[in-house]
Amino acid sequence: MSSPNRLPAVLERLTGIAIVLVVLVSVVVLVAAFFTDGGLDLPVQFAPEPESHSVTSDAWGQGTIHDATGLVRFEERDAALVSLSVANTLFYMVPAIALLFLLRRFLRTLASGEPFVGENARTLRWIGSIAIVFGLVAEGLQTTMAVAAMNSFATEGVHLEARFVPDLSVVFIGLVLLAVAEAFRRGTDLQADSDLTI
Amino acid sequence: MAIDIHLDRLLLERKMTLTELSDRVGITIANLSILKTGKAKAIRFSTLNAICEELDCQPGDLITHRPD
Repeated sequence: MSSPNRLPAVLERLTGIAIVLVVLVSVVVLVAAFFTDGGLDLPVQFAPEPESHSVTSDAWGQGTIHDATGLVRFEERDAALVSLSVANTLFYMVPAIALLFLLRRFLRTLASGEPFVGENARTLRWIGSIAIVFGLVAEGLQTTMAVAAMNSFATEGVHLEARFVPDLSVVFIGLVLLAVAEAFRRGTDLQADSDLTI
Repeated sequence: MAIDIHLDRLLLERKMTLTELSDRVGITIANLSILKTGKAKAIRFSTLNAICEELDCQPGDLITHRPD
């Protein structure tokens, strides 16, 4: 019999630490949004005006910056700005914490030496589904906010844009996890057969 | 499933308990119970061999097929 693999237990502990850190950072960011006087950031998509910047390479000549994303910071805040900033923070923190909890649950069963249980297939399906939905919805939300910014803000030197480019790497990882979940479901069936083989 | 296990009858005839059989063949009581109650999905030849050796019986004494 091979020696027990300690990696799942180590990863489980690290995931637990990551959960605590993400929750702490979320709380700090949210408290700062409500109770400090500093500026608040909103995500934007933009391109600087061609005549406002210059990028030159000896090898490749003139270049222009485009398809940029960044944050615009407003120093004067009102309830609407605080709400937007808080919502943007929560939109990323909540799925991140949910994914970390699911991952920790998965790693715990791995560490126990019984990977092929129905719960693991369901957990992987959840993680994959959240990743796919998030990869599409997050970009949709960013695009929506970019459209709102385009219609609301006056700019000089840059022009605001709205582009919908889903994070396909996250969607791909989600699809891979759904496939792995199917493998785990089959593994669960085989494990049940094995458990009832005397 | 239409496979009947006659372990209870064989143990009674040989005046042996499940615990004694478990100790002699090296199969846990839990697994023997699964076998005895008909919940097993499969039985390994090694297990069948060990049980038949201890109970001095043939596989057909332990397992029969009941036509549906």
